[in-house]
Amino acid sequence: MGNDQELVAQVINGDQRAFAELVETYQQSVYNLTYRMLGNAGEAEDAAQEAFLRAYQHIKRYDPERSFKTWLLSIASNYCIDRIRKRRLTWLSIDEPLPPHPSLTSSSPDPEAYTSDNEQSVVVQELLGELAPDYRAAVVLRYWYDMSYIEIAKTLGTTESAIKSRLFRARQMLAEQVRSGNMSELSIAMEGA
Amino acid sequence: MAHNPYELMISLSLDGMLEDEEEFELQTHLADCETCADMFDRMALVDTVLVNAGEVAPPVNFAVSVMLRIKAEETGRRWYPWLIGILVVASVLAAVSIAAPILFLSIGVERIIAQWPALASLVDNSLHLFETLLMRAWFITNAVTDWYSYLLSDPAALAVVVTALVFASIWIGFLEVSKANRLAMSGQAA
Repeated sequence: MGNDQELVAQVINGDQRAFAELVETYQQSVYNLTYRMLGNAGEAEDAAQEAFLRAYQHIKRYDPERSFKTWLLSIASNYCIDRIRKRRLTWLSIDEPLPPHPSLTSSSPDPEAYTSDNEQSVVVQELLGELAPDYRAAVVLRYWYDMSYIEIAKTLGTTESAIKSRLFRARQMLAEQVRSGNMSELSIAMEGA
Repeated sequence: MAHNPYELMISLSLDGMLEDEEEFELQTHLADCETCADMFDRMALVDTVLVNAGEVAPPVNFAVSVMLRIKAEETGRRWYPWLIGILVVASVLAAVSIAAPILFLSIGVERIIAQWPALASLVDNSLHLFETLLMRAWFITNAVTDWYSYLLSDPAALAVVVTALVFASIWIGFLEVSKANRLAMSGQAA
């Protein structure tokens, strides 16, 4: 974290290489978040790039008391929430089909890029795709970044009780998914894990 | 039996947020309540799947793409104030070109100005400067048009210019690729 603060100071002084180091360090965390939020490799890449670009442009607003990673994930998650809302408003109906499998939509990543089994990945994205963007962000930050309720609340700019409620509602919805017939797929996914 | 409070407790339990007493109360309830026990099983199954889902890796050269995008944005932002400045100056000149003849010829501003010699001299000098600038712009435009006509009429001259442009494009492309490679190497070193 101390190293991050030094790099941020260098970026503020105009050193782009220092920012390249930060991108190298946090690219996987940011990309994973955008991918889990958007469920599409092409969109995830664009959103992750946009998150880094916004971080670079607003680097002077970064509070050194906070973790740089948390600040970066905050930018990325809020951007994804906005993007999903706009997407729904502009060209998707409420009955939108589930996002296509990443290997069918991806423009660049190769199959080896996925650390988890493809079947499991599809099931996970199907589950997340059923959640509202606010709920999805809470679930992603809880499970992939192991954040506490307070950390999630700070990242998403809300209260701890709101996060408690969102995670509960999200789990209820996911449990309903299991009831409505995804139990076998989930079981397979769990075996693959 | 009210299930909802226990469903919330199941969610908190999965996050390890319950006190020992609350956890005991929940487990006691689950032993007696089939509905809540079923909900617990389903939530726990989803929890296991999510806990075991790994991180997705970004595409190769993602970091380089980000830095190139930042450079492109920076370049655009550097040029933006210049572009706005040029547009403002051009708009002001155009407005002056249209307004000046109207003011001087139609309304009779020149008679009012003539009453103050200092102001008249200032206006005279400004008009002279404006006329000089217009003449120079006209001269440059004519020169460019002549040069363009000459190029189109002389195949050898056209070939020289096109070849020079091709070499310039290759050279710029080479510089960009070198920059991208340097960025990639600095990223790998980091």
